[in-house]
Amino acid sequence: MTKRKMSRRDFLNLTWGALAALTVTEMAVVGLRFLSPRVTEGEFGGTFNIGHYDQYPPGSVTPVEAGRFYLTRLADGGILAIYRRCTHLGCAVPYDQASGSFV
Amino acid sequence: MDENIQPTPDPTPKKTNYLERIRKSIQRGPLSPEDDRSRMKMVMDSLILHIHPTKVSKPALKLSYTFGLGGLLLLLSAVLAVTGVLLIFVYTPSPDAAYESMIALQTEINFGNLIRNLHHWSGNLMVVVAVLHMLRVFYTSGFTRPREFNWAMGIALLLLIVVANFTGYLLPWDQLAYWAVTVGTSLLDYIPIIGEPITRFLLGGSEVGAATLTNFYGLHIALIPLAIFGIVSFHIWRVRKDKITVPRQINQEIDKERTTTIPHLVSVEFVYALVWLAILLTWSAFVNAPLEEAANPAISPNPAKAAWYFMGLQELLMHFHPVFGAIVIPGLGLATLFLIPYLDQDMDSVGVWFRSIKGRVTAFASLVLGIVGTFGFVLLNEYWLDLPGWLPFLPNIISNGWVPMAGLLLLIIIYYEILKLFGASNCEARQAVFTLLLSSFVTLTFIGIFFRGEGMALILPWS
Repeated sequence: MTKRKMSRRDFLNLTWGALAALTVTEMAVVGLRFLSPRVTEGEFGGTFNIGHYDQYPPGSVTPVEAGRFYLTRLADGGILAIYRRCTHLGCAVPYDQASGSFV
Repeated sequence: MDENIQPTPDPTPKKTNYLERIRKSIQRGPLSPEDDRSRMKMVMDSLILHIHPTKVSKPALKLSYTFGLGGLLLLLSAVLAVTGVLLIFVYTPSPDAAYESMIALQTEINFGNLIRNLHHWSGNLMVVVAVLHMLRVFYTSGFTRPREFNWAMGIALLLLIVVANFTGYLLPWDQLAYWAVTVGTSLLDYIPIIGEPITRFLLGGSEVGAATLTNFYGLHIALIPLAIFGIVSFHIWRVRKDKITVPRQINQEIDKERTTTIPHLVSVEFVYALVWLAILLTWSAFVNAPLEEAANPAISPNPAKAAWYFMGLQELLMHFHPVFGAIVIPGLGLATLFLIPYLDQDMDSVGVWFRSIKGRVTAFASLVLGIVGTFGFVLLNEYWLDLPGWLPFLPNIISNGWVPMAGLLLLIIIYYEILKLFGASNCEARQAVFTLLLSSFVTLTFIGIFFRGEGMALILPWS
């Protein structure tokens, strides 16, 4: 076919095909967005109100169960929230208060 | 003369038998057909029986050929559907209530334990039987033209069965479930770029929680069963269209004898199903599905192991850089599995076990080599081999990834060439390499399940 002109039938087929593809894409995006994870306050991944920093003396490690983290007050007064999850395969890293170390 | 032509009217006109009429409106033909023609018609006309052809190959009926594994998978699906639907009625998919449902199954609900056991054991058995079904098809060349795509669908089904199992694993919400799923989904995390978003999407957050439970529940009871149902229908339809392969001895012509499906196939299937139901019921009556303490996200058990069918992967991860252990090697393995029929060169061996005498010998040798070699490598890696230590100037992904991977590939290529040197055909050599890799993977799975103790250190299972 050397003719550049697209036939009426080809044009309509292409249009309807493109519309069908668009519909499927829309549905897929809506479905995936519908199922995407939510983060709410006070749950893991959200914001936590756990009181004033004075409650946490320097050098202390306090587990925050709901947030899955340890609130660590460093010796110099700095604050670190350490995620409890091991990076290898996701096990929980326990903190031993007696020996003062993560085991 | 007249009397001969015209039938005499029945002196007692037939009374309408309503029961018979109703029966005939459902099942149109006779209930127990007396001759072959009506037996074949019954198969043709029946919705259920129509998954079979009206006549089947007589040699293919032998139990020692198919072992009824495909049929067994269907039976297990049926058992899982029935027990699964029952379980839906007593189970609440929330972290607060899920474990209580488990306790209720054990203490309050009539036959609660039996139904849960049946569901648990059938699900686990299904993984094993699906693999065996795949092996049966593989070793009798049942995947060659024109059946290539049906093999691919079978692999897809195997994956879906594993995913169904894995999503069900979380539902009891005990320590075993929680940590097996945590470890299992963490394996996914290692996929570069897309791994993390996928894991997040599946878990409904950054770690296993309430959203994960609803996600897995939805997948387990609706999406995956539907997908399996759809693909299985296609899978069986293709078997029906392409017909089952016919077993034969080496260098023998195909035995073309055929026999009617009723009763020769149907009665065997019926008895086989009943025997398996009896086995499942007996086993489930005596052996309880495991249930540990309620899930506690703060304390992980030591060792934390994934579900048993993932232990081969977890073990692999102990020997390779995560990108290789969790992604490259399994990915290559899976891709090869899908491509097997397209890599085959149509050696005329459909229906012959292990293709030939040479095929049998090399397959058996590969099996033994896979077991011994894998144990050897695991021990070697534990006590002597220390690539990252020897090559401290290289990043871990090279010293513990590229280097051992290249070594492994080299060994496989050498093995393939040795087989060819001893006169194995391409097909036989590939079958042997497949056997070697498969037996290695199964051995790794066994090592992971039985030979790994606290801190994933090597132990002897009997000590």
